[in-house]
Amino acid sequence: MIEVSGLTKRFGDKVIAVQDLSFSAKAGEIYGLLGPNGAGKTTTLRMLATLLKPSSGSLKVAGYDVTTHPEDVRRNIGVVNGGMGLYDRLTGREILEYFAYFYGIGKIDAQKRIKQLEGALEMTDLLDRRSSEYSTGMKQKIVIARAVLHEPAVLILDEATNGLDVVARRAVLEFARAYRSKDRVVLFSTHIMAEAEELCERAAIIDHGRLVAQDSVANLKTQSSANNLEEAFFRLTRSVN
Amino acid sequence: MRGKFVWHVTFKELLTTVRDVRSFRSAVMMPFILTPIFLLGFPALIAQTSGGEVVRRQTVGVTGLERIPAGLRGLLEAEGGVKLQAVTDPLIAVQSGVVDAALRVPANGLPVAAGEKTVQLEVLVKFSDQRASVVRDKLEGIIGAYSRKLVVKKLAGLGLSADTLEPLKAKAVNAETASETAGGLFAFLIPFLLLNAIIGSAATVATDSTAGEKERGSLEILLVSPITRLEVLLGKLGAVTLYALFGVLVQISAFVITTALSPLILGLFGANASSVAERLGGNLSLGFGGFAMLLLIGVSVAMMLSGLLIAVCLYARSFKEAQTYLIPVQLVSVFSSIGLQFGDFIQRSPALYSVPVIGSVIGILDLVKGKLGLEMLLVIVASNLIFAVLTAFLALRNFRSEQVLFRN
Ligand SMILES: Nc1ncnc2c1ncn2[C@@H]1O[C@H](COP(=O)(O)OP(=O)(O)OP(=O)(O)O)[C@@H](O)[C@H]1O
Ligand SMILES: [Mg+2]
Repeated sequence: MIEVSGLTKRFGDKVIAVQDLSFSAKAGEIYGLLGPNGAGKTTTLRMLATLLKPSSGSLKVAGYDVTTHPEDVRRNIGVVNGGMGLYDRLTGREILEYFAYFYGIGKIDAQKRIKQLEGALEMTDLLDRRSSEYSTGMKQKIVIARAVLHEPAVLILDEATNGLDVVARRAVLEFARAYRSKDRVVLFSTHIMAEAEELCERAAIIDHGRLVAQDSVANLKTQSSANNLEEAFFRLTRSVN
Repeated sequence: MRGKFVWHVTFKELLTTVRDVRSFRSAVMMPFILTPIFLLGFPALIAQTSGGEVVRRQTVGVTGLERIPAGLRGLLEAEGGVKLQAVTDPLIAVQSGVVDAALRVPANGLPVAAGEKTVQLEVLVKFSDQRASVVRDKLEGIIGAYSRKLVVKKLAGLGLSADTLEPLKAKAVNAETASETAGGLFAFLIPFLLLNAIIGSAATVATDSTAGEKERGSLEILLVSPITRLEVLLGKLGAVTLYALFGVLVQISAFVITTALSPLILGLFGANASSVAERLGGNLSLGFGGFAMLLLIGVSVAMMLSGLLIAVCLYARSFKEAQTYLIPVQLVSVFSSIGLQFGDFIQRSPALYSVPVIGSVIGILDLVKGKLGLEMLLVIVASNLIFAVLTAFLALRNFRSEQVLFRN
């Protein structure tokens, strides 16, 4: 589903945000992309999402090459990150309708899909209020609903629980778990190891733009004789520095 | 390129703009407030204060007050209505502001009859002070009148009439066309207000739909949707242009209404001031064709500026930053309009009309004064459209550049 090989991203002459990174995630799994601040997670995900162009290396998402078929890639991905915001002066429903249009989802189908998501994400009766009135948690639910309107095969979550309270955070994690299915993959990026440990089967750990380890979460722990993923993460990233 | 996607973006940008009730309300109301103030209020106020200065009793310092002939003194005090005050140093008296002007009477006095050598009487005033020019005119006028009186007396003694002095005299007759008269001295404010309306409304949408999207974090959501950058850009450009056009229409309505209500508004200032203001103030008296031409220039300027504003605002990461970027654009518009006070001195040529912004501003001024030909209108519009395409390309380039969009 996601194949990253030899991926490098430079910003100008000095910054190498991602360097020779390779990993792959298969359909049916929740795959973790883990790393400390500044490791290159967001940069990698932005390249996957066609927002940034790779300096070199190849990237395939849902069978499409990101550089040559960006629009096919966009049709098959949903992206959520912690910093995403909404159009204050539109209602949640209007925002979802606005984006549904770009996926060719008709008016009636859009309403059906919104109804479904309203239930799945427990968005209660707020959909017809201006989004400026929403709580951070409700906003993030709209961002997520917008990302999965078209039921993409690839869902990319980048620090998606940033700034959320316990309840909202739980809702996001539950949704990610429920979204995964045999023909879909969830790419879950975070620096919070507890979340990754709870959710992911396999993970890549990156630091300073380079791959540190890629394995199942269980193997990552035994490999570094750690009790939990946080300890493993700590040992693995420190051994490189 | 899918037109329906472009329109979908345009519609959403316009909807969110109009829903910002406070800013929308001020966009609609400001022209109706500013236009009468600029076009009628200012001229009337200037007329009123300069009229006041004329009737005010100014103080004039004099060194050698005792040497002023009675005849001249009588004229100064009675006709000029100035108060004469003895001073020792006229320069210091004027510079310190103790007196409005000063006269330095020479040690051997002033003539009481014509026929001798010409005597110079120094009038000391601050040249750059506009109020001082009133008292200067007064003093020079009275001194001239006194001098003429002496000459006339001398001529009478020789058996000649006063007309001997002036066998021929020039008389100026106003040859303005009706629309030039209506345009008035303040006509340069018409292109200024129009340009201001275009920039103001275009900037509202341009900042919100670029830097605003970045600041809110909604830009990334939009860009990961299956819509091309070209479609997004054209959609936003469309919204900026349409809203700028709306600004043009509101401003034109404000001109029309101000002109219609001008007798009523000027009535508030008293008869003297209102007649001056009527002469100075810019009144827009255009026929249907004139309005159509104004609209054409307005639309093409709006298109050109829309691309430019989007291209510039895309660099900004926040509203505030975008607003600082726009200051130079606004300054260019203000200064080019102010420069137009001297518009009559500028030599018209197709090259001048095709200079972005400035050409259009001059064109609008000419249009208001009924002097813009159809060919020159075409030059202006064509040049604006060419620049509109260029600025749109610039905006597209920025919109495709990750350095611009994801600047760290
Ligand atoms: N547009 C850019 N220009 C220059 N440098 C950049 C740019 N974007 C990211 N970087 C740099 O690249 C490196 C990786 O950044 P990135 O945002 O991908 O890290 P991250 O793993 O997502 O970190 P975080 O956990 O803080 O979100 C950082 O050193 C960052 O400063
Ligand atoms: Mg990040």
